[in-house]
Amino acid sequence: MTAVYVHGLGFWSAGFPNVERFCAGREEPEASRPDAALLEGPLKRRATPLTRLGVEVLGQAARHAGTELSSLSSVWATAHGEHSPAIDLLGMMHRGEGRLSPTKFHNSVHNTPSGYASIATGNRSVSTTLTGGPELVAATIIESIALLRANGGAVAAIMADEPLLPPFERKEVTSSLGVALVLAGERRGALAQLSMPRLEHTQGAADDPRFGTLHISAALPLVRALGDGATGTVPLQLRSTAAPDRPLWVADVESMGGSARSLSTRA
Amino acid sequence: MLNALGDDVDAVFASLERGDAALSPPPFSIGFDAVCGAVNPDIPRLDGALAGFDSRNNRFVKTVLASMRPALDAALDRWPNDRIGICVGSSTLAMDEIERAYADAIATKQSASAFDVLRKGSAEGLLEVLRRLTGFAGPAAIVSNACASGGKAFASARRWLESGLVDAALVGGVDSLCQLTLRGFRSLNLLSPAGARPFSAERRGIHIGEGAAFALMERAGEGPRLLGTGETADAHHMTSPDPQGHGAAAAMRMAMDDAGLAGEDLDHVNAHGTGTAFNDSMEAVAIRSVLGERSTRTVVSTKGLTGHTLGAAGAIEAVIVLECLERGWTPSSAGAPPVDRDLGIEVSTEAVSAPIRTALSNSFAFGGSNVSLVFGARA
Repeated sequence: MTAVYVHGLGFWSAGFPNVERFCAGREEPEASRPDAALLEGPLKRRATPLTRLGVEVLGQAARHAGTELSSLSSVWATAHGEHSPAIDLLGMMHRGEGRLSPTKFHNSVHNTPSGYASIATGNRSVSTTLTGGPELVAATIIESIALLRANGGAVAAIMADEPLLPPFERKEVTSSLGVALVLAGERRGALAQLSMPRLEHTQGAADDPRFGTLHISAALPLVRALGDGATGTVPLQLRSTAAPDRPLWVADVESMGGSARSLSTRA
Repeated sequence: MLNALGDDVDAVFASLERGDAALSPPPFSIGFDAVCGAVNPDIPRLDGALAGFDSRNNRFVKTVLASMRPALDAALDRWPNDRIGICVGSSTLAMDEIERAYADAIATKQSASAFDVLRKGSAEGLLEVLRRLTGFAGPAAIVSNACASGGKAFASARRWLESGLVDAALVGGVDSLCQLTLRGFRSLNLLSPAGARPFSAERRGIHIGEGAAFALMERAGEGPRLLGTGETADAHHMTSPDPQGHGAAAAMRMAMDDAGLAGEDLDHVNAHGTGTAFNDSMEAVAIRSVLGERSTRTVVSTKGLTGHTLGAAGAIEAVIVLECLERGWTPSSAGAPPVDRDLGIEVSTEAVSAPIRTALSNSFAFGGSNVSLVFGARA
């Protein structure tokens, strides 16, 4: 398989609970918490903010793609991992509490969202969680395409991070961000064709004011291209975090005629 | 390879031959009795341009990569540096540094440097250290599927090679002791008071270790081979394995099929074998169902000696298996006697000197993540 196609797109940030609103710049102020409708009962009660975010965008992207969730392979990406439970655990340790919460402990691993999603959807397929820095978005797409070439079928790439909490907070990051893509080798019904990422000496993506230097916000040019039905080369790294002496990851997007508007009609 | 047993491959194998668990108290004050598999505290710090990235985790990386320098340089001679990838597993990363930064920031009400510690102590810092110490400029990622991270890094790197994206890749894993994991596993009542004894009738849980192991993987060459990989999810529970071992068995079956092997073809198993009641029972069910019986196969867990090195475990055990294939020798499953006969598998209680052609390594994790790797001796 050489060509890879984008069949579904999921998006969530505070005030922009889907890709249509994000691409149109139409805010929905009451959207302050991802719904994560795939989670029910105890799973929903115990889910962390990052897990709710990842599961929400996975659900959106799979719905847009019309893909069966129980058989989807997945690559999850988060630069800071399960930060909220980790901060709670650090607080418990600092206050000298003898025993940590077992739920918060098992919720603190980077692959918590993947674990909850697999339990909620009965999905036993391969699921890999990646973490990293400025190159995380590119690595996620690379691993997703490699997985697709190895196993066929469809692969979900889910990138999610939340703003850091005190004492690690960064003032410029004001919202969580979740992005999901469903990729497949099938051309029919696709939104766009996506190339394997490659290195180029080029300018990176500009910081979005709400996400600052959050590494996964480097996926926003790709989200905008897919949402707008645009064709071209998109950066997969932020200009502000790129090392000055190194090339940056980029990918080519070729629209198949779909756009954010068509996403909502496919749902 | 580096872990509680030694600072390099030969030292680790000398300890495996002696069969002595390297148990020690945690390398920090924790307020309760616990035994660990701690790395030699005297390994070199990061200095010069990398001084800002100094942490136990990154010292492990530096030490192991220094021992691999000739192989890394040979790869750089063979391939353009942007065609060599980095795919490494880690779960805790430099959490001990982040714990200290949190405590300092709360105590002093100054958070100015806390973010910097978080950044350098997380995957971003680890990748930067890996890039600078190897000179490799291709795709790079940290796999973080808890205790399956190190094993899954091998599976991902193989995909990158097979997709033609890279010509070589540094694979492996690294993890270091911290308060959070010791206290966390204690909260789950999974810590053994006297060290892990996988597959023993007297097993009482894990002891946590630390360390790093790396290998250089290429599409072709003279060394031992990664013949097959299998990755699945349990879709059962966040911490408890599926008691029937369906997910684990599926990963093992997938790896064996990928390698083109039947159960009777397999010479050696390095099990996940944590020493908890649940894991060892579940894994035994999976081993029985996928591999069947074969009296000359050796089945071991090395975690009774190394401790459970969490995100590094899959990589450390993969490198142990690769060395076993090269040396024609397999260790005993330390701590196993008296073996739990209810498990129904033949656990090796003696080291065996005999050539092996094929070996399987399992890693299972929180979130129900499973990976099996099948390796073969050099052609």
